[in-house]
Amino acid sequence: MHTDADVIIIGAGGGGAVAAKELGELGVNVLILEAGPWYGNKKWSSPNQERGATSSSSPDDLDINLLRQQYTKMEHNMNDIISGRFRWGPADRRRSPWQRIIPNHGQLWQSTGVGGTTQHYWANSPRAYAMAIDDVWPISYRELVPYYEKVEATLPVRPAPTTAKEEMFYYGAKKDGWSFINTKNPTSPGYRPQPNAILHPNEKLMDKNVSLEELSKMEGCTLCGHCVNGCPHGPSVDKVAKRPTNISYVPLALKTGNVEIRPNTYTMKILTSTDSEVERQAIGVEYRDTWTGEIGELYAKVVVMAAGCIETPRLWLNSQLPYNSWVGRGLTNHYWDWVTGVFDEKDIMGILGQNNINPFTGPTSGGRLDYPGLGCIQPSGVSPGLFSSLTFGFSQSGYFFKQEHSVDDPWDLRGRVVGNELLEWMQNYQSTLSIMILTDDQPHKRNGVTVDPVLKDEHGPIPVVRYTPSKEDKKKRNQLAKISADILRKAGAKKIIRTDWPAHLFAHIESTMRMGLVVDDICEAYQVKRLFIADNSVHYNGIGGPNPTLTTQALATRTAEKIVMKYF
Amino acid sequence: MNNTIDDSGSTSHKKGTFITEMKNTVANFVSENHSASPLSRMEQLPMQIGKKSLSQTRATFMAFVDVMIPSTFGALDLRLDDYVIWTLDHYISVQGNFGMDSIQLSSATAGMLDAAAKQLIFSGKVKKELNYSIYPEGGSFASLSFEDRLEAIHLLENAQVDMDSLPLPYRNNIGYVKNIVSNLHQMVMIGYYSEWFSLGATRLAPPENRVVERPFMTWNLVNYPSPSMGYRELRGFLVKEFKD
Repeated sequence: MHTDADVIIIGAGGGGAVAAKELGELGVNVLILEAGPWYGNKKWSSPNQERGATSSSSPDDLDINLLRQQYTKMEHNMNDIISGRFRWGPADRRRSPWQRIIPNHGQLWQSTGVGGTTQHYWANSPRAYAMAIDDVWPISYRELVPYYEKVEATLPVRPAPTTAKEEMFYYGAKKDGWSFINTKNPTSPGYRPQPNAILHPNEKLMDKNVSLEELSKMEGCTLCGHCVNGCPHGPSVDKVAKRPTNISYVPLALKTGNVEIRPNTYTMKILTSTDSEVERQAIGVEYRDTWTGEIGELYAKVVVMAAGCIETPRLWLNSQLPYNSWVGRGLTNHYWDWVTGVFDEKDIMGILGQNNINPFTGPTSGGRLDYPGLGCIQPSGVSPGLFSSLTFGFSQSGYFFKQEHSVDDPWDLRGRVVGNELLEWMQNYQSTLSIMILTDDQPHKRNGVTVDPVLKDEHGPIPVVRYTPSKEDKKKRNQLAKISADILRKAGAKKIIRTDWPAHLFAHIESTMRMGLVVDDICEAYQVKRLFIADNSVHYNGIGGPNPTLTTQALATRTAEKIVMKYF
Repeated sequence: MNNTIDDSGSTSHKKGTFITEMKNTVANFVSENHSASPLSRMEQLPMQIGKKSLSQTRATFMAFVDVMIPSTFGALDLRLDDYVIWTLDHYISVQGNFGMDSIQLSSATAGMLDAAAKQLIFSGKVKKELNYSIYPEGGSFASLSFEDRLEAIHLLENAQVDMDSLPLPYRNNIGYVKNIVSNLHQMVMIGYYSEWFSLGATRLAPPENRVVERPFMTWNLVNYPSPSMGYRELRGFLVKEFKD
């Protein structure tokens, strides 16, 4: 049968780009179909305005000057979920985003485009907790380690530098009795620098003879604080400081000469063989060009779904692949929360030797406290629009003045803040420190992705995403919120707000196509041969709380190896 | 504005009629009474009510953003009502008969706030007198005091209003109500504290045609120095490599 590639990969995000590079290096011919735009590529000089070329397969197409123009670091332009460059929607920003139904307070924070959500991720790249894998997943932690090591060397991943907000956090954590843990494999609670996929600062950063503009075109992080807004700093696309996959894996994939990437191409359906004599197997995909609406088919020997935890199950369901009660089910999202303290300048001066924390400087998050069995927390700093919206506007509690406050609560207020109180908090923006909470929530079958029986977009029935935490999940989150508030208080915080983020915040989304239930231990679908998955959805659980991308990338590396062993 | 007149007179809440009803809602933000008589259907004609609905929608969001971030140079002075209306009207599109239809959520959302406000008024629990003089073109929500506006939103997101009286797509849909209420707050905040106002005359242009035209007023208020090439803020490393 004619094929368009050996392997078609759906999605050029955190997992798909990794699988492509690994397959390409093993001599397999790969075509990636990506729904969103490609920033920093000469073939799309106006990626949000014109259709541009159909595909690109050469590293010579990558252009750092274009990336610098397109990653403007302006938070509304980049991060607005309706019209920003990093949104879940088509490249043409005159059009609405692609709808997902979130039936509660909440938000789904994903980005289309080559690099996917890693374009706005914070590059935090810790490993899973071994206790969340061993005797829980179908494979062991030890099995994952060589793949972790390979990804850590490729990205690369290194301990984050200390800037003001990390120093405040370490100070508070130490004073609160926590120990420093110098490890990639935490087994007991303690604080440490984030293992980050961000190049260490250039050694000239503190040399005032070299201008910041010059530094922004050299290798290494400039501590500009724009990780979440998109990092354009570096001498060439492949040497940009923050390492989303459009920067790290895509250039390496293109260098193999075996990988072609086609942006603006939405995969609508998995095509399978209909021959009843043989096992059902994937043979290709049906896609739609997001600019022209043209629909076509492409064929391959193997298909890899790496469309993310919402789109991968949606694609399965909309393709009418065989029924499996676990498709889309068992979603975990780390049941996040956010706790913020405001400090007096004199107290900050006592700890840092300067008046302010300036949470907008340095890596978006450069430190963490791990607590295997409970989850983790991480000091975090974002630009003011995102900060105000995440700290004061995004709560499942409603207005703070409607909440009952218990004297036992280690925070002073909980919930949404508006009006003069909001203005007052924001006036102290420079003197705030926020801590993000990631809970070791457990997969429950009630949580996950279904498709709406009536509402459709141009790609078919729209996904509906639901999540209700269990009592145990709530208990863990409360405990982490208390630890966060205690650390802030020990560092001298004068007033603390627990935002109480909605349970329907979907950013670390995992385990909707779980290994052992939908796919086997090499991530091939049980019910459809030659169909693999290489995104967060195959995780058996939320890996204990740590940020999921590194684990997805380790697994995608392993899956690529297994695909070649089995089919090529 | 596109409006479809459903001459069947059906008031079905079934999902099959969702899109049609939602389209009707576009021009019918005051459709709290959905037991549509032929007369009320006529009143949904866009030419007849279009102008009024736009001005009432605007007044409602002016009142909303003013209570979120009040005072001189607050959200109202910085035209965040424009931001909210633009965002709501680009929030969702669904498959229609001939391609994707944008659902103009702003008028339905204003209608939802008005419906909640009306119920607060009827319950006799408003704390301050209604004042129609600030927003003469506004409805119930815009006539409330700051405190009462927040109370109306609180009742709404806790389903303490008659959910059946809300316009589509909010009617009997607390999940969607909560989602939008939460997002409305976030919209005002990210709009106000980001570069949006500085886009000047281009702020409502298609996103790719927007350019920064004036100083970053709100960033100055919070001492954010605006996007940066970098900071010489390195304070060292706890470790440069992990032990294992």
